[in-house]
Amino acid sequence: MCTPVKTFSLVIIFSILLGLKATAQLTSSPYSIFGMGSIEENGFGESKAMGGTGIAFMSGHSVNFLNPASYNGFDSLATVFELGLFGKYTSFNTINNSQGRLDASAKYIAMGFKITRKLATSFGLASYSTIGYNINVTSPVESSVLTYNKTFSGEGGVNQLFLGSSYKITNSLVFGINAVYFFGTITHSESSVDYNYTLKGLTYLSNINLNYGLNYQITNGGWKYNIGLIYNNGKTLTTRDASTITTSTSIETIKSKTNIFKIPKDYGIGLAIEKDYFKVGVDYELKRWKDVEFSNPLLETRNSNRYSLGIEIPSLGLNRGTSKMIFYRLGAEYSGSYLIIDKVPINYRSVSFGAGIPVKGDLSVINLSLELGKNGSKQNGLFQENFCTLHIDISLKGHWFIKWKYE
Amino acid sequence: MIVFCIGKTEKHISFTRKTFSFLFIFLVFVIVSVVSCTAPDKFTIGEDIIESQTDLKIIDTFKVDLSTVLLDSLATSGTGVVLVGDSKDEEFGSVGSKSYFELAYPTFPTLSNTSVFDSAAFILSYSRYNYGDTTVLMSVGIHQLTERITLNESGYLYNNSSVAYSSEVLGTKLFYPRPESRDTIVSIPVNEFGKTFYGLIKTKDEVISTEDLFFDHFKGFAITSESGNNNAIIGFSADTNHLSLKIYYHIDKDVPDATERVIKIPFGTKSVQFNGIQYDLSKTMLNKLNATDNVVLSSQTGNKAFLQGMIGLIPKVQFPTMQNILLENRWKIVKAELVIAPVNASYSLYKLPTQLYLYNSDKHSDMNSLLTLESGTTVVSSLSVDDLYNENTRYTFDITFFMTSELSDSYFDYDHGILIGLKQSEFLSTFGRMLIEGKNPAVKLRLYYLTY
Repeated sequence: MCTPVKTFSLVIIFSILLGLKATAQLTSSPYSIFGMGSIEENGFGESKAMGGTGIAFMSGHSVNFLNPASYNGFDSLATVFELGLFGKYTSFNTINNSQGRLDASAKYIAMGFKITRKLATSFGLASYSTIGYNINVTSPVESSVLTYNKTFSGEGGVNQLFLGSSYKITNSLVFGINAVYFFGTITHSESSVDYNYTLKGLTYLSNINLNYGLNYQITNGGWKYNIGLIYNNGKTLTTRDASTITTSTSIETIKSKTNIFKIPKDYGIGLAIEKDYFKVGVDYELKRWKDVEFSNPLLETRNSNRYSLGIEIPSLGLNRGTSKMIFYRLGAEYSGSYLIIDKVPINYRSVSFGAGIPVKGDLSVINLSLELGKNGSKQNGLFQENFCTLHIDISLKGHWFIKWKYE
Repeated sequence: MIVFCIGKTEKHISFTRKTFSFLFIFLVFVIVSVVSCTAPDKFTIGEDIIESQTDLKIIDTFKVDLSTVLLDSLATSGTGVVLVGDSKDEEFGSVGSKSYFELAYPTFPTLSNTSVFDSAAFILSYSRYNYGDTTVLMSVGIHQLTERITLNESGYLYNNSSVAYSSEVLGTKLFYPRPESRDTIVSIPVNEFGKTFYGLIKTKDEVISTEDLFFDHFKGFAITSESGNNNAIIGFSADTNHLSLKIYYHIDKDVPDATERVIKIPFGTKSVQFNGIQYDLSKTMLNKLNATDNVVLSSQTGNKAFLQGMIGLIPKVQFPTMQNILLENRWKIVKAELVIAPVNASYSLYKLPTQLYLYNSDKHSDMNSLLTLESGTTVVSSLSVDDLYNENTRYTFDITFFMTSELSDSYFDYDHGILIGLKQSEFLSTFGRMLIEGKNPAVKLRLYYLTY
């Protein structure tokens, strides 16, 4: 049973993981040096196993954060509580060098349930972007033959605290909306142990933005056809800078370059077909990053395109259709990134596969998936990341509210 | 495996779930511990996409004023060393030292009527310190003070202090110094004086009956350099075990004694022993220096600055253009070094100090506190020797904390100079010396300067 006690213990695990993320030196990507860092896609556990596909999928055993209209898919009796984590190994490759690093963190925590037959809700906390890099360089001391060691590092990211709901307008049409509070800190620093200084640029970001979603469903003889649409209008985040220069004898607050951080305007469409627990979907998403400009002359931006395909297959044996049914999933994703560094686009492509395994009756599911992919390119002195990510997602279902009503 | 377990009994399922939680937590721990415990190779990929915002440069063009200061006085009392002799050379002129001390009031033995005085001498042991040419025959003498040694209000006596002594010499000694030999003693025979003293002891004269009467009579002694030919200054240990007056006698004039009979009157109070220094700079480049006009720029003294202990010659550096740095924006000094070099070929006869210390100074050129690092550790520089070419023989000091604190109030005080000296105890008890080059190369202030 998903009792509040168990839920809270998961919340504690989540907090510990967030804390560890802050203390352990994890590297997500040196490319996260730019802007808000590496942008995470909104898909949660189930979608991660299907190349991030899900705009046209409904929520069910777990929350589908890609489209707020999906909340209508929650079981009318159960509350879904969900937690996502990942561990990632990346090999970073230049033309003549290769180094590996680990990354691990909690990714999201969410809850969702139906309020009435027509109205459903979900809320939670998810990562929007992360920054994590540590680059050691040897720099010359000007007007001398000396060199010294310098470290560039970055940490932090933007989080999204969301509260959403969906409303079933007609039998086929669901409208959904997420109010998202974006908040976070971005820290970039450069320091030298040799000369005992640290220049630290710290930016606090926040603002509220709305995401909209629609889901239209046609059923025909056991076949379900879904179209999902998502949209958000974009938002410039409010920032506050606190930069400091620290030497062995002083700490001084300095004025830093003012950067503009913007959540881009976003359009997405998804199609899905479902029958007898089989499910196939495709997504296309466009983010208008071209509106966002960087002061760095090496950087250009363009609109990003995400294409993905995902398939879900139920276990075909005796358990099919029962609460012990396992779902197998696979998918692929291609993202033409918004970043173009020195004329080289930093594209993302991956394949994924995984399974949703019921653990105790119909009440809990663990979604495990492995994502293998590449990001970036070795051209023009850049580097390619070959990564392998293990996504772990735990969904608990409970009858909290019903129990409370009759206790 | 997991798939296999599910679908069995309820027991199995709950076991599986526990296993799951366990595996999951285990996995997280493994990942976290691998990441945090391994100290992997330095990550270097990504260098090309970095836009550095800091630049570190070295600036060593700030002007440094170098001068020589003659300190007013040095407290030379209580150092435990008797320095005696004369020395002269072209650079530092002539210098001489005499030492003043008193004996202890001992318990005197009762001497039989038959006992007979043999001889008496002041016994000295080398402290191993020496300055000058020790191959020359030395002559030292001992005189009796005509007044008692009294410390001044602050509890010290100085290199320029003196105590009156009788011109009549009690005894002299001519010897080739062997300062490296700690076992060798130098004895200055004082037979006349000793015989009188012996008489007082034998007759239990009133003069030696109390401490006060004793010191009224034996006010103290001065060890002096006795001829104009001395060209070295020798150090002797000034402590109870190594300095004494010994009076030899035997009990019966007709019967030879099996053992040596001696009355030992040891060295007295350590704090009142001091060395008085006489120097003459009139034939050197420092001839303009005196007690009132006590600073001279190196440009007026052959582009060099002078360091010598006991006399109180100490080089000083000041930074006349540092104020200009304050006009610039967005900078920090992350390191500041002071680099000094000895005058070439000036240290073949007189060894360079192995370590130099820095002292804060002020507009009176006083020697104030030792310069420290931010941690409180004393700034010290060891000599770095360039045996091959002698060009890079130098001392480098970390003066970051001095610079950053001086600049912290946005005003650089020119008067806040730095004196380059020996360790305090060496400065007060040795003639350690050095010539600092003032022009080629000049004293360098090397600033590691960060812009951002």
